[in-house]
Amino acid sequence: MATRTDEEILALIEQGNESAFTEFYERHGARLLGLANAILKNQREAEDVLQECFLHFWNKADQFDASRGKAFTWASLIVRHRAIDRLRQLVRQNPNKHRQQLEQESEKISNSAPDERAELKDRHQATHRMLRSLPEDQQVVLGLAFFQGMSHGEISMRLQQPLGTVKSVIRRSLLRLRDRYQDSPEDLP
Amino acid sequence: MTPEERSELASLHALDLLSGVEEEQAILLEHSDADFAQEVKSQRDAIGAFAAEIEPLAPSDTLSERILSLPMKDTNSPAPSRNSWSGWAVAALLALSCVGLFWQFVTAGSEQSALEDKNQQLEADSQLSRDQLASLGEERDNLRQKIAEIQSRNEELLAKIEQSNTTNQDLLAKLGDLEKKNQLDSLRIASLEGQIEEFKNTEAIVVWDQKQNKGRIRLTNLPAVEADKDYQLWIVDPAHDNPVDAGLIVANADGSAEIPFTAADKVTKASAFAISIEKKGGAPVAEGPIVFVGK
Repeated sequence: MATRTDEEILALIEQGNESAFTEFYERHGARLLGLANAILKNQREAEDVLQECFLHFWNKADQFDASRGKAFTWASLIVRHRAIDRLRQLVRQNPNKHRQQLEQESEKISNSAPDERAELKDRHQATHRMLRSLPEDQQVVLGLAFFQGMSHGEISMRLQQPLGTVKSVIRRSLLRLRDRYQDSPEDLP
Repeated sequence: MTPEERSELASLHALDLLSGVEEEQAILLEHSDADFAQEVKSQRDAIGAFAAEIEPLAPSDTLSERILSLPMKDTNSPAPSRNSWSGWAVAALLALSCVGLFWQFVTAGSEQSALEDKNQQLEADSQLSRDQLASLGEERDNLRQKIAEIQSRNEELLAKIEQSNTTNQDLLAKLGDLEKKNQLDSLRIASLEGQIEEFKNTEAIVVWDQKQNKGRIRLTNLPAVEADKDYQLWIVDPAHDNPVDAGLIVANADGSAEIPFTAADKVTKASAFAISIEKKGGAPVAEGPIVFVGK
């Protein structure tokens, strides 16, 4: 029996097919939980977010638009978005703890000491091997944008770099990722 | 927008980092520009692929149970077909509905919280905009004040220039008067009279400008002179031993002439003017008979 594509599974979920929902969870649940955890650094919070997201997938599968991206892309962006929202909420609820953590990271980045920068880079690399293929500036900027949901303006302030430079680095990092995946489409989910 | 700026906009939109006008612009472009939509899609899928490479994390058993039971709990589920009904089923459905409602309440709380967060963010942005607006307003007021000061200063300067122009014109007028007066002072008019009968009908008037050392003579009814002779004008100046040469006088056929002349030497005071008949081409010193004299 041929394996169903993610897009086909979402179409079935839209029709209320529970087995399709289970299949989608079994296929991507762990990956998406890893993504939420990479952002929140807290498995319990990440699991809560994932549960919310799967409820969203079940109820709003009709919102998936294949012309805007792949099914997994749609799901991962929802998880990322909700995890970042949750992270910001946690920061507001317990600002001291999280601010301290963010400030420490910020200092590490902005001080730009080679060993500290390397430490930050290593942490991201441990989370995500793909980052290793990017130049150092792209690793840092993409890490802040993707995992912390920082806007280009926030990154500019945090790294004390011109806004135009940050935009350009984000663009170059995404184009590099795109080229990398176009060269190896088997890596695409 | 340059291609690079479009591509940057696509990247930021794909990463969901935009807000406000930029976000609206990106959404509009994504719906109206196929190339831009394709660029966003390709970058978005690259982000999806990037996310897929993150180390998976095994969900806890309870999470899997909770998630896999969602379709049964959720009241908003896309209504699978129902073929049979029974009281128990209705009761179970009601119970599930309660659970669903509870869950909705929980998730609604979360959504509300997210909305509150968004609201706080918007309020912060709004405050920032208000601050920026106030700062711009202050800057605008300062600039207006400076413009008013410059305009006032400008008007003062214009008034002074106007005043200076008036003064200047007055001075120029006075200077003109003075020059005119000076010119008039330096001018002298003399009427020359014929010394012999033959020249009694001749009128000869000299206007002499002492300042410029030159003048003009006007004659009518001047008798023709012999072919080997010329009339020559002289200026009598006490400062010179001999009259100063003022040039030859050549009349028209009808005996009229108006001739400008310049004294050969500097004349200190023209006490009289005389015309003599000299050899052809004139003489450096008056030698021939004086036919006209005037003071």
